[in-house]
Amino acid sequence: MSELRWNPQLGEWVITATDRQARTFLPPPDFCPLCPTRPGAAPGDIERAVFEIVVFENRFPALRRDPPEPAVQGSALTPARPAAGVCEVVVYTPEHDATLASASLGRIEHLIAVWAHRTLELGARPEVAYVYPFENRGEAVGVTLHHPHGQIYAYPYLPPVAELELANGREHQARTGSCLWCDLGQQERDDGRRVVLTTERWQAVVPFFARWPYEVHLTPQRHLGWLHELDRAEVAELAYAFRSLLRAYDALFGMPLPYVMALHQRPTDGGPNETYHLHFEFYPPNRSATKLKYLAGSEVGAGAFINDTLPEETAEHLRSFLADQ
Amino acid sequence: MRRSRTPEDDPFRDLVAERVELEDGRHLLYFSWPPLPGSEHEEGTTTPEVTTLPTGELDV
Repeated sequence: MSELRWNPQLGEWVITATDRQARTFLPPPDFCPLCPTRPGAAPGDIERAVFEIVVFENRFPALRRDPPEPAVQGSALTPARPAAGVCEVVVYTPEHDATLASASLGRIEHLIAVWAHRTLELGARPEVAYVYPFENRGEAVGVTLHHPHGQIYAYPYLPPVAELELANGREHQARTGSCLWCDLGQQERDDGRRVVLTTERWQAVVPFFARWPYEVHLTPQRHLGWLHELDRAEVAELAYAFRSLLRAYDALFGMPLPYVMALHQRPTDGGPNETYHLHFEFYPPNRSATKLKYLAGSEVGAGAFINDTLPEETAEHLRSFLADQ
Repeated sequence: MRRSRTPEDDPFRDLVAERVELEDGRHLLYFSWPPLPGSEHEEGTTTPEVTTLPTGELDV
């Protein structure tokens, strides 16, 4: 069963997707469904032994191209609607034990191209309002398959974070005449303490308002809405900045650091979204090598984040590992 | 936003996507730059449809 249920308290849709309970959970490497199918092994979705990057529709999708009607009867107060949309899996490499931090810059550039391709194709679908590429890395953030991969959700509505960022960007533009993210970037460059790395065209910072200890936002300095608008130099520098950040993350505590990576682009709903500025957000849950930040009473019940660290200090900590690269 | 750069400055111009349909109807895309040697598609349920980056139809 899969459907959207409206929460009138928070003004948001909740996706119910009970089929996902049956999805593959931490299989041994010999049974990895994201590895190329090997002779004599159980057939997976990827038939080729050699490939660069593969994208396929999730076998256990939360959103579907042809969704069934809701199994539950909604009401005027709490409507239900079909869970239309697309959920895709992006397999970064055929190598089960590879990491993006050790990937060539060329492969990361290719991954950027794949994200751009999928955003254009999925965003052109009439039922899709927002295309969201993301990655969950590590069991600490709920990964069920260790093979290097990410996901793309194409939602039929603006998810709450996108909607809130878009509204705040519009409000800032109306009040000041400038882009919220351009102004944030300029403020961070002027201050310098929270900057993790800069290139001519990109900058990575632990934001002034970071919710997580090692949260980083990676933002192009040019005002852009989607990846497909990047030029060659911007793609090359993004690949470099992306890999440098991941290497610093893995060096931070001497282990592959879990994280959630979120790519925020403009909605594809046809609305007045010109004020929105493309950026990546990284959320590692660790506050030390052995301690995780949990979402607890204040965060879950009140939506009020408490960060136990200072962004100025965690940015400096991350910078110290960039210097070793 | 339509893509309007020159081909020389297009970082995505060499991307090739081969689309196949899996037995249960799901779509799968193999991406390559250019197609990898020795990666000829094996007998599948459909003939792969080869495309490049969509031309960009996000008129928003």
